[in-house]
Amino acid sequence: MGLAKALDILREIRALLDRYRAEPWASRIRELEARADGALRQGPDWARQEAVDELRDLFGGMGSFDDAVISSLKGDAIAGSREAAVNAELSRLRDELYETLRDS
Amino acid sequence: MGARWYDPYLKQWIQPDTAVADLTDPQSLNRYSYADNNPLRYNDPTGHDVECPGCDASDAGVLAELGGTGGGEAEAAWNYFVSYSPVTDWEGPGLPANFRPEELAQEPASAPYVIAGVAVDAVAVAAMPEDSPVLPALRAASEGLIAEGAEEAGARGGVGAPDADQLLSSAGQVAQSAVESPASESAASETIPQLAPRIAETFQNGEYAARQLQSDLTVYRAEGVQMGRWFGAVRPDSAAMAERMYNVATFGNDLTQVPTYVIPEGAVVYEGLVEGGTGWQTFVPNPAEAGVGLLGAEPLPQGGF
Repeated sequence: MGLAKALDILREIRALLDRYRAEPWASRIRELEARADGALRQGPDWARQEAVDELRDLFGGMGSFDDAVISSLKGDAIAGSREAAVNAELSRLRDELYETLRDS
Repeated sequence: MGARWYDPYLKQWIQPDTAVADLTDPQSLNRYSYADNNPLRYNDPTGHDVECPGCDASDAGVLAELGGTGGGEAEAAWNYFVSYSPVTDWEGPGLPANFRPEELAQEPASAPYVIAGVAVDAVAVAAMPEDSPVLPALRAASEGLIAEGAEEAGARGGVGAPDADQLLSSAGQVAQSAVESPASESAASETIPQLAPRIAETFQNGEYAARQLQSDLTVYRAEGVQMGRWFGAVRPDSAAMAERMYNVATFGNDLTQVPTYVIPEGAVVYEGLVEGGTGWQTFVPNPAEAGVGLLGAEPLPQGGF
């Protein structure tokens, strides 16, 4: 099921955000990861679908998870020279998550 | 094309005038006002300098000018259109206040025919390079509409008003057909990648213009923590204004501050109206790579207007 793959990607995203202490998204993704994990392990189909829908709601414009960046300007623990590459990786994972959810 | 964009809902330009203000003229100090806030008397063909096209005309005024054949026809037609439109609450050169807010007005006179290119798909039109095969057709059609307006004015002997709705509707159809034509697709830059569909969907009707900045661009955000990939053209005065313009309330963010950012010359940006909002947004795929800088931040007043 797509949720299992989405959960794997979500873990990668959370690890990336944790590495640079990129709040508040690190905490937000951690919460979603826990709920998705619970739904996948024990939840009925509707709970799994709910988890997928919740993850889909991350995406949008200004203010959404799509808007999130890892940046020293907001106090994240990242050197300026690393920001472009790290945010490119975040975008790659984000795209992958979206594609997985879209097909779920 | 137009030098700046005008938001009829906000009743102001959404980009500041690049012309240096005249310290002896208080009106010029507001870099977002149009034509010294007197659009019926003045216009602003370039977006940077106020002109008074009717000041040298005879007492017969605008209607007499419409009968002429000189290069000022478009300008005169526009003045007539604005002055005699049945819509009485014009707020600028582009659209009446009751026009749909998403239909941003592009300044009419900067290209002499844009009276009929008013707005509906100004975003797409603005994205077309000057050598686009669509533009001549659009301008030719616009000329026809201007001529129709002049004929109508002549037929009425200067009494009554042209059908503004019809003119604008026709203008919209012209612009729409230009957007839908295959030629407009080829107008997009071949070197700038298109946005992923989900990002494009954050722009109204999925329409946006991509360009490489020729100079630094000052932009704003309303946010709780700084930095992101979407930026706004207008600095919000309150949290409610930010929500209305940029549709940021959807994601439950705290809107506590208004930072000002600068996107440097050379950066590739994607611009257009906000889906679900009334503002104009700029998307930068990777702000760190583009070199987006923070100029400063101020508290954002809560509540609305």
